[in-house]
Formats: sequence, structure tokens, C-alpha cells
Amino acid sequence: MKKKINTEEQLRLLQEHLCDDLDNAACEELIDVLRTSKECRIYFDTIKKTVVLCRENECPEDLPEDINQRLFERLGLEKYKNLSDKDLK
Amino acid sequence: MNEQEIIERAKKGDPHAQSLLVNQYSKRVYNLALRILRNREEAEDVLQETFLTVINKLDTFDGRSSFFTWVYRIATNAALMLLRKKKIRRANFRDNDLDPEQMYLSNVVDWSQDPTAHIENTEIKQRIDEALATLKEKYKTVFVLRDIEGLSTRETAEILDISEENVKIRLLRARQALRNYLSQYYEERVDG
Repeated sequence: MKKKINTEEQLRLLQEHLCDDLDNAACEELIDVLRTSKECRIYFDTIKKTVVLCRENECPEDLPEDINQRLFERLGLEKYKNLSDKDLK
Repeated sequence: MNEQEIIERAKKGDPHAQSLLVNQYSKRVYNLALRILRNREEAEDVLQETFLTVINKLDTFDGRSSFFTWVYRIATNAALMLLRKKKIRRANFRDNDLDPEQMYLSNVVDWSQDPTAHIENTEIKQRIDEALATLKEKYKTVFVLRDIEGLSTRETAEILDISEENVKIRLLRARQALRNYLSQYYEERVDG
């Protein structure tokens, strides 16, 4: 007989799965939950999709050159801005 | 030359080594600040503040955490201080709205496969921007560090000086709040 788990436990499993912190046994339990509970599957899928959309929305920007220039000026390091570690003596 | 050697030289005041560290982390710090503050001018302030602190306090870096974690902690604190200093009061999600069980029981619309659920959809993008802008600071910071920056639970806990369990709870609430915000949009479409 399949083990019944309560909503709180399901949430914990889903969360751990999204964090990649699940061990194998817990992962099997989660798959079981997702197979048998439609609501739980929807919850899982929409949370996952939310994270993907937010990640895509927040894709990293290059540091604008004027901001980089002002940063080095503020630090008094303008002379060294374009040097690489190969130039380090 | 490896990073440890560059750090040692930077600690001794070598400006070339200091500039290498700035170049190594400036883009990531700027993006982190941008994601927390959602304002380019403020992100630049945090960028400058962070590296002034990094250079001035380099001698206090003892290597117990990674250098990256140390820099990120300084940047996160600078961003949070700016938020508080400017007394930004946004229409935050109420704690009641973030109760995990409540959130789970509501919103059963499955929009995860909806063809409109992509970032090129300007309504969705706007909805995400709004949600991230109004998310409570303590949830947003964890969400940004864990889900956007891709840091581990342990690193996030270290940067924010909170327990790993606390990171997990805040992350759960942040994800649920954001998901609920998007779900509302799809529920309205279904109802409308």
C-alpha cells in the first residue's frame, strides 16, 4: 500500500526537490506523490515554471563601461583597469 | 597566479592586484545589486560602496569563507542598507498570504504549459517585475541569491548570516508568493 503523506510533508518534499537536496528514497516518494495527486503536480509544475521565468527575466547584464570607469576612478585604480594578471609583476 | 596569491598581494596594498579582484567580481556584484534594488543608479552606488569596503577591509578577510562569499556578503549588506536608508516602503505581500499550505490549496490553475507563459510575453514580464519589486526584502534576497544567482543553501545562509533551515523557509515562501502572483494573472484570464 502506498504511503499517504500530508500536504505539509508534500510541500517539504517539493521544496527539497527544487533545492536538489533530495536523497533517492525521498525522490521516489515525491514521484509517487506527483503521479497520484493532480493538485500537487500542478503546484510543482507552476512553481518550477515560476523559477524558470524569473531566472530568464533576471539574466545578467554586462557592466556598462561608464559605470566601470567611475568605479575605478572612485577606487583610485584607473591606471590598472585594463591590466591582466599576466602584467602582474 | 592564483586568486589566493592575488588576494595576498592586494592585502599588502598592491593596486594592480586590487584591480584584478575588482575586475573579477564587479559584474556579478553589479547584477546582484541590480536584482535586489531594481534601480541602476542605486546598483552603481552599491557597486562602489562594496569595492571600497573590500579594499579597505581586505586585511580582515581571514579565508574562513571563500573570497567570493565574503564579497557577496559585503554587497548584499550594502544593498540592504541602501534599501533601509531610503526607507523604501512598498506594498509588500502580507505574511498571511505567504502561508505555504494556504498557497498550496489555492490556485489550482495549471498554467505551466500555457503557450503564453514565456518571458517574451510583455504582460508576464511586467507581472514578474512587479512581483519581484514588491516581494518582502528578506524573501527577495534569499530568492535572488538561491534561484537567480544559483548559490547553494549553505552559501546563502553564510552570506545572510542566517541558518540553512531559515534559507529554505524563506525560499519556499518567496517561490510561493511569486508563483501565486503569476497564478492570479492566469486565473483572471480564465475567469475573464
